[in-house]
Amino acid sequence: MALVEFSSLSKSFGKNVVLDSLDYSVAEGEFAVLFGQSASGKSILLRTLLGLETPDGGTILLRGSDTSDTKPGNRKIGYVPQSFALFPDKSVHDNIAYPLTVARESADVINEAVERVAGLLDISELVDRTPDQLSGGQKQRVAIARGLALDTDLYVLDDPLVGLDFKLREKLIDDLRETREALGVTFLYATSDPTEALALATTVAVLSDGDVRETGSPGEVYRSPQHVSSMASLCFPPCNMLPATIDDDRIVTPWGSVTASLNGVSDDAVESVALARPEHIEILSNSNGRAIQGDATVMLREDLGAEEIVYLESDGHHFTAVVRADAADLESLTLGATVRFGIPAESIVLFSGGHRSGQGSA
Amino acid sequence: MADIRLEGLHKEFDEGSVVAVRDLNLTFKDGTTTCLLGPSGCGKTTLMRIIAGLEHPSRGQVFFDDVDVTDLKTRDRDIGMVFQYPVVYRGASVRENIALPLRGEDLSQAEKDARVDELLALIDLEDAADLEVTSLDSGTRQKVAVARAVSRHAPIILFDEPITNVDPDMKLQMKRTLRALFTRLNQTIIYVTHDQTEAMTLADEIALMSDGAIDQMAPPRELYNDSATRFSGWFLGNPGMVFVSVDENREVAQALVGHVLPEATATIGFRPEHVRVTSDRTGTGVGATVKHAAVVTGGQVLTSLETGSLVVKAKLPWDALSSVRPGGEVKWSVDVSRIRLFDENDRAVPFSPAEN
Repeated sequence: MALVEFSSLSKSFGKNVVLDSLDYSVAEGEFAVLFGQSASGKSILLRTLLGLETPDGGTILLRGSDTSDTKPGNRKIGYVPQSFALFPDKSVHDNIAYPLTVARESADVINEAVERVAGLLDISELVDRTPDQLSGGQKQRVAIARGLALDTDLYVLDDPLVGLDFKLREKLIDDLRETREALGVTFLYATSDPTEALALATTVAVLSDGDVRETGSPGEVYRSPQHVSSMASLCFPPCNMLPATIDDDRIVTPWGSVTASLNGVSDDAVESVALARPEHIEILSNSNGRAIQGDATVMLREDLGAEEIVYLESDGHHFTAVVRADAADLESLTLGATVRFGIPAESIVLFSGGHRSGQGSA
Repeated sequence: MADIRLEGLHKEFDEGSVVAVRDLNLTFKDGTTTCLLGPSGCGKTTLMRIIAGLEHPSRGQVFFDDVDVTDLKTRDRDIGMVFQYPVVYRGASVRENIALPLRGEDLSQAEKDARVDELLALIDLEDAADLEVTSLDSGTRQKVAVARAVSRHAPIILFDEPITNVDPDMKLQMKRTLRALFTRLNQTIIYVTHDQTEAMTLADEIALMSDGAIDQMAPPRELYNDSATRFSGWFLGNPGMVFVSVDENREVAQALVGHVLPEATATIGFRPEHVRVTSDRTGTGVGATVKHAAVVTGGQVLTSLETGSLVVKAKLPWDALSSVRPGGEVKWSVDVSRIRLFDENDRAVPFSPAEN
């Protein structure tokens, strides 16, 4: 049984359709990540589940029961909101305990719960401090602990790592994953950060234009995306959109064409787009053997340590390649240099009307 | 042009309860772009403010070449500055903004015009030269602020997180502009940032700061490859270095290094991308269970491997996803030339495997 099931859920604000007959279900024991660009409706969807927002239509089943008559306080969902505020005059202990105090739990229950979640998030030694004595990262941990204090089976986390610095996020991503595993509960977690989604999820759902377009394990969705929004945005750096046209069974680009295995949509009225991932753009080797190849100018190299993102321009089109920092000939990529690039046929994926409709074949 | 030399520079706040800058002796070389990199609260902004004359040190001196500027006011130091938010003159055009600092300079009008034109080309705003600055978005205004700061050819230019608040789309363009500018100019540039990618991308030298002190100062790739401290190994990289404590995992450490460990070694460190993983269980290496695998930058696969209580992160090429599955048994190893050794004070221990 699904722990949460949204069916035909709709929500508009004036003329702005945010959720458009959305269907989505979350199974028990998952780290379910809801991935979508900012303002794609993730928070609104989570808030309908929490009972903080009323949908215009559709149903939400929580633990098998319709929620329409269940007050927010009776839904038994732990919640870490996006913009959290700690009570400045309360200790860390009392901040974490707040949802339990509101639920009128006994002092024993509260103390035990605070001790447990503070331990999980490694802030046990901070419980007597007030928020002004904490660093930004420590505050974030307190907010997450407060969301986890309620002893239940479902927790909703709305972009809890947004705005945190790099190193802190690296640590909290591991902590969140391990915390959920240790608790054996279900997390429903919204983010617009593709690396966060891919690192945390046991299943990821891609939200775009008001509906969930695709769900699956992050590895599956990454390897074989079925919807254009998954391929375009559930990766870092963002995917390359190729200036391509379809001619019978060929994908034609300014740098050559390849045959494509087309499945399904061949309706000319439906717009088709071709994408290729940055790691598949070959710039240092082998590119001469490719049906699609050309010359590009190196616009910028971003050094991430383990790898570099190389920004290229060819005939007014911009695209990116990713190369490992230990790759041979990396020094040849000086700014402004002209390099030969190649795109393997099978790395080009075609989408028509949003859906996967073909792939280049060698 | 000028070196910037710091001698015994120290800054405390609140009667010594907070030390922002700790007895620094350091030279920023003439004509070099140095990024002051470090986590928030490490003292990098305070240090820059002292060099700018916006803050007075508790003790120690600042020299520009051989001139002691410690007690000089900011306006007497002959420096250009760029802040987090663009500082431009409202009501003036892009061209006028860039030309303004040249007013008192001993240059002919033609020379001034040539200089402004060159900068307009460098920041890619030739078409916007006559627009009023307030009509521009904040990222473009920041470009104007950058050109304005450098137009007078002051020997020293200071940047305080100039692209931290710029839109993500514009950030890339700004990085390109700054990169081109830094290559073109031979002023002494100090650039404060908390963003390692920005520092690695823009700097000739990175001065990595931690707790008021310079942890390591080196060109970007050298800093990344030859970490002088555990902090440097941890801070650079995404994720940072993997550390193996010799006390807790002596056998693993010994197996990886394959030589007699120098006595001072307390920890060995290596980068996740240098870990090799094979699912061939007859291969050589340390046995482990795959705990987790996720797709990261450029489709690479970041795995967590468990060897007893030790968790090792390995960043594998993009085509590795199918061969590494959670729950699977693997062997992992690291090329010994990629291994760094650290002592109990977290400083690198000299080690050259080839000579052992």
